[in-house]
Amino acid sequence: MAEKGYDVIVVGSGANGGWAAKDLCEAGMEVAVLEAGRQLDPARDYGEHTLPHELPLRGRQDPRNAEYERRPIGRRNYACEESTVSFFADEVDHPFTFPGKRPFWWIRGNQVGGRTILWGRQSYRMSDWDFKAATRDGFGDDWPISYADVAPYYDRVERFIGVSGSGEGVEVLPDGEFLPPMALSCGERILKDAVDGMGRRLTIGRAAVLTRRHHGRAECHYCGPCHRGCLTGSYFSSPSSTLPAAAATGKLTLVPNALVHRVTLDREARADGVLYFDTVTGEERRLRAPIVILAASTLASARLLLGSADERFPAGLANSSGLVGRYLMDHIFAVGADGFLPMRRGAKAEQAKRPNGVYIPRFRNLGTRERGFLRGYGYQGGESVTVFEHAYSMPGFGADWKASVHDTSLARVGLTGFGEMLPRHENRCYLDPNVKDKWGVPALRIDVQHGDNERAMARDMIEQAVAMLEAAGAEDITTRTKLPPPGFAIHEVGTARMGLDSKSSVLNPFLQTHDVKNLFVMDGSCYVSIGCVNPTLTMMALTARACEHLIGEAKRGNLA
Amino acid sequence: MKDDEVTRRAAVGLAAGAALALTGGERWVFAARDGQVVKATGTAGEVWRPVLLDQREGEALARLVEALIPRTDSPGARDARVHEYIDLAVSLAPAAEKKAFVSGLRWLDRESRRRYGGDLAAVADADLVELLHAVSDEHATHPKALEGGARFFVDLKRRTIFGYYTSIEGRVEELGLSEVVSMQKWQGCRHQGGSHTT
Repeated sequence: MAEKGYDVIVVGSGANGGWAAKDLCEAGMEVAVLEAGRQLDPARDYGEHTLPHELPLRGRQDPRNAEYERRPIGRRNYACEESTVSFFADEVDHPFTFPGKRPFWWIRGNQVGGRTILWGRQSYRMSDWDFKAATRDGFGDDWPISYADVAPYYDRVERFIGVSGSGEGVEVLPDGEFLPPMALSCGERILKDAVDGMGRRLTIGRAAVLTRRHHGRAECHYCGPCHRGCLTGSYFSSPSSTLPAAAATGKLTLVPNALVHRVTLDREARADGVLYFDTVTGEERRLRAPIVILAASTLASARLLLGSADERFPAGLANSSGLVGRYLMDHIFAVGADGFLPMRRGAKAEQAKRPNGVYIPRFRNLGTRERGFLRGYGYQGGESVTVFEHAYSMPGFGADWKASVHDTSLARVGLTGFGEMLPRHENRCYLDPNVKDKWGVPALRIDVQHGDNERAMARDMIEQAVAMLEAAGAEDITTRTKLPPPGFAIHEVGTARMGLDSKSSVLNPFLQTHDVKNLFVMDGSCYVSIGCVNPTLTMMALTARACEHLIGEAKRGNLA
Repeated sequence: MKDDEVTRRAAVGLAAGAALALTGGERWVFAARDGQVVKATGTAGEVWRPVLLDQREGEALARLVEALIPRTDSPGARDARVHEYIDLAVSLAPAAEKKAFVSGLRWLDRESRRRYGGDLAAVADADLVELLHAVSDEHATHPKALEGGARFFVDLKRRTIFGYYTSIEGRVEELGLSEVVSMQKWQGCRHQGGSHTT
């Protein structure tokens, strides 16, 4: 690539890399965004409008597709199917490891936009119940910032990307700048009456999906499988939203197929660029800039820092604290309960497919210690009216049976908990001494396990899900009791925690590394504790705050 | 074209049709071709050659799925070529699953010959239906001698349900769903208060 002068290199083009590119380009900076994956072509690669009968196995994973074998972990995710398998990172080319008895399921994207193509779009604000949790219960550390510090940036991000939702006035789940909320279904209204009657709150999910036209992007048309991409850009992804905004300034250079493996330093131990492999040609290249931002995601950024060790930073770049890779967290999830609402038998399913569910904010450990665990959890879920799936439970066959299937439906309601995992020093990632990726770069080894607090919380999640469904009059309630391995919620955070003290943190409150002032890490790495809400909105708000700081510092010459 | 529905092609300007390549021996066809949704899968008059089963077993499977979900005032499972889908799907299943299905089908075939003197491909419709009733999930338990058939029935019925209700015949003609991508607003609950039943 011809040598061009860049002001900033951003590694990663997902939620945070895209936002950083937007803000910095709009501030007049020349920004190069390096993305390990390929550039997608929506017309060719997005398959959200493909109907089941248009695929040989009706959308189920086709064993003839060799891509699945190359994604033994990624293929476990619900979103990995015929239209999307190539959106998941090839785990043969990009391996990672974990101890056999402590699996970690790291689910990664591999394209411009990263996991914003695939994500669940749920967007919630953290509160001071999260930022100052340690003050309340004595475990771990507080964040060095409070909700008031982040609130203006939540506002900015929500206003730009578009988040639909309903203001509820619940302290533990601060309200945002919302587009009109999607409606609850009838079964969800029934469930809401029961949940609210228990002193809790059920609301429509807050989703980065447009319920009206917004910044040139079309309103959602409810076709269904968002994870296959969205030709109308109706849910937030960086290619639909922030990257075009950055590109419109004329100051963005997007470099796909660029696998960054090292941050380089000058003689004064300042970051001065990156080394990367062109994954198409295999050629190694260098790109220089006076400011480097890692936004490659929590684990990938940690890998880069660890892999950029030299004699000045023998334990890894910006790792004088020894904490890069430590305090890795992911939500516990997938446990909960399901049942059927008898009063809704025979209801007609809408053909429109709402890309959103309901949310029940945390109600545990808000002022009183309960149930033998710290912190709390929320629920996602909702009602699903069967179209034909009730046929599986209808004995018989033949013409009369067929007619009954046509005239029947079942209204299934389910609640799935998302709970806070406590930050523990021993939960970590580090460079595998033996395994390397296709380009010879050491792979990441990830060693995380749930503790007693997570297991106690999971038990309560299940019990309370059952209680709420029972209160709503649900029948045939079944429970989901098995916690999947850490990583599977795809909310991994930690690994470069923020703090005021360089001995106990990697980043300052503006996501600037303590050790190298012109090096920033803008993704989930910065988290001090995970809270119980989906993390992407918070990461983006923190990125927006960090970019504002970066711009000011650059103008003042403090990053030189 | 209804105001609130547009064809996939019109909405997004895509080149039409599915993108997957057919491999040798496979004749599965897609219901959207050249931007036009067609009602029947496959080519008229073309003889189906099973991937996994032999021709006679294929015919047996076709009769079985039709008995489970017959043509009424809407297409049946045979019209929707569900037997072809099942043959393909089972051929790609893990070995144990494949073996169980084929064994189950052959068990039913032997039972048909034992009871009625003819295999599944040849026996009278009424006899086929009677045999299915004997092994169906209408019974909480089965005599030991019929347990093999009962297990096969459950497997076959699940596959038939999925294959039928995800086919264009099942989705559109039987269930009344849109034959193209629906571009509608989500409505949700519109009750002003009180009852939220159907």
